[in-house]
Amino acid sequence: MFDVLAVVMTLVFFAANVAFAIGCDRLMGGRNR
Amino acid sequence: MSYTSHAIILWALYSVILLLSAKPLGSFMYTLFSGGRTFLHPVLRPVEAGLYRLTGVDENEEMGWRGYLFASLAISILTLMVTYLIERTQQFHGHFFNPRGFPNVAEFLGWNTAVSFTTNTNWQNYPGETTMSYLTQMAGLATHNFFSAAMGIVWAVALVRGLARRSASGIGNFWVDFVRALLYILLPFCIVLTLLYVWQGVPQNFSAYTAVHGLEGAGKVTQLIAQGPIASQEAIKILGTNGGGFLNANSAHPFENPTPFSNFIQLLSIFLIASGLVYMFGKWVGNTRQGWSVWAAMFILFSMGYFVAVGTEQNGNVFLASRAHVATAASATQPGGNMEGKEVRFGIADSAIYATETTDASCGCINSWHESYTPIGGLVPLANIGIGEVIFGGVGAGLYGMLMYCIIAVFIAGLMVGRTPEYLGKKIEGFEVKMASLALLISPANILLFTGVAMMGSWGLSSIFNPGPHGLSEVLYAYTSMNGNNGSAFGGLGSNTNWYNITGGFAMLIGRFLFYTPLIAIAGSMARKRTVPESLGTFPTTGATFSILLVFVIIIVAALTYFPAYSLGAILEQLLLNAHKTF
Repeated sequence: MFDVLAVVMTLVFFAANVAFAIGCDRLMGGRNR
Repeated sequence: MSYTSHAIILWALYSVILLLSAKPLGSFMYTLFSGGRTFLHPVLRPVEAGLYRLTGVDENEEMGWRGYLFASLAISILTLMVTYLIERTQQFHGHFFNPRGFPNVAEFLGWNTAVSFTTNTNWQNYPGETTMSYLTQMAGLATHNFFSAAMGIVWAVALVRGLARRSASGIGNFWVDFVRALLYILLPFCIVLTLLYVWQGVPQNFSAYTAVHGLEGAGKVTQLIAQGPIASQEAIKILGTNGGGFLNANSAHPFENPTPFSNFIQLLSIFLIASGLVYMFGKWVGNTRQGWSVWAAMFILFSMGYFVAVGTEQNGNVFLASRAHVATAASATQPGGNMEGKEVRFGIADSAIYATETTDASCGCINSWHESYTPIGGLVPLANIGIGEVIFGGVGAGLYGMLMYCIIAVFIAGLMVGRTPEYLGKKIEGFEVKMASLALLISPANILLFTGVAMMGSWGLSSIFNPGPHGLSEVLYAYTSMNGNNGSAFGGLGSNTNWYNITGGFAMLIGRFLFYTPLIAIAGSMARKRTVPESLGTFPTTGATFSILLVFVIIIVAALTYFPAYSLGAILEQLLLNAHKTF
C-alpha cells in the first residue's frame, strides 16, 4: 500500500518538474528543444 | 575571538594546496568535456566507446536544454526506484550481502533514503550499520553517490557551455558528459582515495560484525564492531560531496576517518573538483580571469566562515567561561574552547574547518556534532547551506549556483551604476533575470515554508529534543540541509517520522531538480545569444571589484532572506547564553 504511495509521490514530483520546465520554455518562447 | 597557530597554519596550508590544484584539474576537465584527449584516454576511451555502442548513444548528437534536463530526470527516476526496490527487498539479499540479516527498510524511510541519495543529499534518518545491508550500501547508496555527483558536474558543464557558446542551439549531450564524468574523473580519483583510506586503517571487507567483550570478561558485556566495504564508499562519499556515512557517526567514526591525515585528505577531497570546475569555467569562456574572480569570491567566503567558526569555538562557551573553576583557554595540556561534540583526535580547528567546508559544499559529512557548537559557531554551517552552498559548493552544484549569483550581481550592478547588464559578452535580458530570480526564490520558499509548517503542530514539534531557540534551529537546519542537498544534520531532531520522511523527501527533490530547471533554461537561452563587443558601458566581471561585489550580493541576499529566522534561533540563543540563560 505505502509502496504504491512512494511510487506515486515520485512520479507526481517528476511530472510537476516536467511541467515546470515546459512552463519555463514557454516563457522563453518555446525556442529550444 | 582567539586563534591557535594550528588553526592558522591549517587554513594556510589547505588554501595553498587548493589553489595549486585548481589549474591542473580545471584544465583536465576542460579538455575532457570539450571533447579533447586526456592522458587517461589511451586506457579509458575504448571503455567509453564500448558503452556508447552498448547503449546506442550517438556521442555527436547535441541536446537542447530541455532534452538535457529530461535525460537527467529520466535516469534519476529510474535509479531512485531501483534503490527503493533494493531497500525494500533486503531480506532476500542473502548472507554474503546481508550478513546481519537486516529486514526490509520501512516504506517511507526507504523512499526518503532513495530520494536523499538520488539528489546528492544523503540525509540519513537511519543508522547505516544497523539498517542497511551491504548490497543496499553498495548497489543502492554508493552507486547513487557516483551518479548524483556526476550529474552535478555535468549540469555545471552544461551551464558553462551555454554561457560560452555563441548562436548555438545545443548545450551538449547529457549521456556523453555523464559517462565522461564517471569514467575519467570520479572512478580514477576514487580508486586512489580508497587505497589511501585503506592505508590509513579504514576497513574494506565483507565480514560479519565482530563481537568483542570488554575488560569485564567474556559473557558480561559484548560489543559488536561494525565493518564492511567502508573505504570504497568513503572515497566517493567525500569526493562526490555526497556525505552519507556508512556508519552512523559518519567521519567522526575512526573506521571512516581514522587519522588527522585522512581528515586532511577528506578536507581536500570536498573542494577539489568544485575548485577545478571554477578554473574550467574561466578557461571555457576564454578568459581564465573570469574563473579566478569567482574563485576569489568563493575563497573569501570560505575564509570568513572558517575564521568565525574556529574563533567562536576556540572562545568556547561564555557561560562556562564565566565560572571561576572552568578554564577554557588553550594551553599545552588542553585544547581549550568548546570541545563538546568534537573528536579529541581532531580538536577544534580540524573540526571547525570540516564543519565549514562540508556546508560550503553540499557534502554534509561531519566529523563533529554541529549542534554542540556554540550558537554562532553552529550558525556558520547553517548560513553556509542557506546561501546555497556556492562557496566552491557541491561538485557542479556550487558552480551553477554561483553563476546564478553572478547573473544577479551584474543585474544589480547594472541597476546601481547604470551599466548594461552583460555577462561574458552576452546581454542579460528579462528571461535570464526571471529564471535566476525563480531559482533564487525556490530555496527559501522550500526551507521556510516547510519549517514554518513543521513548527505549527505536533507532527513537527514532537521530534524536537531541545527546547527554546535551539529547537527551532534543529528544524530550520534540517530543512535547510535537505533543500540544499547537503545532508548534514544539526542533530537533536528525531526525523525518522512519517512527517519528516515525506516532507523531507519533497524538500530534497525541490532543492535539487526545481532549483536547477531555471538555471539550465538560462544555459539554453544564453547559448543562442550572440556576443556583443565590450563597450564603456560594460560592467567588468573580472578583478577584485567584481569578486567583492559578488561576496556582498550573496551576503545581502542571504541576510535579507534568512535573518529573521536566524535571529529567532541561533542569534537569540547566543544572546541568552551571554546573559547566562540556558534551556
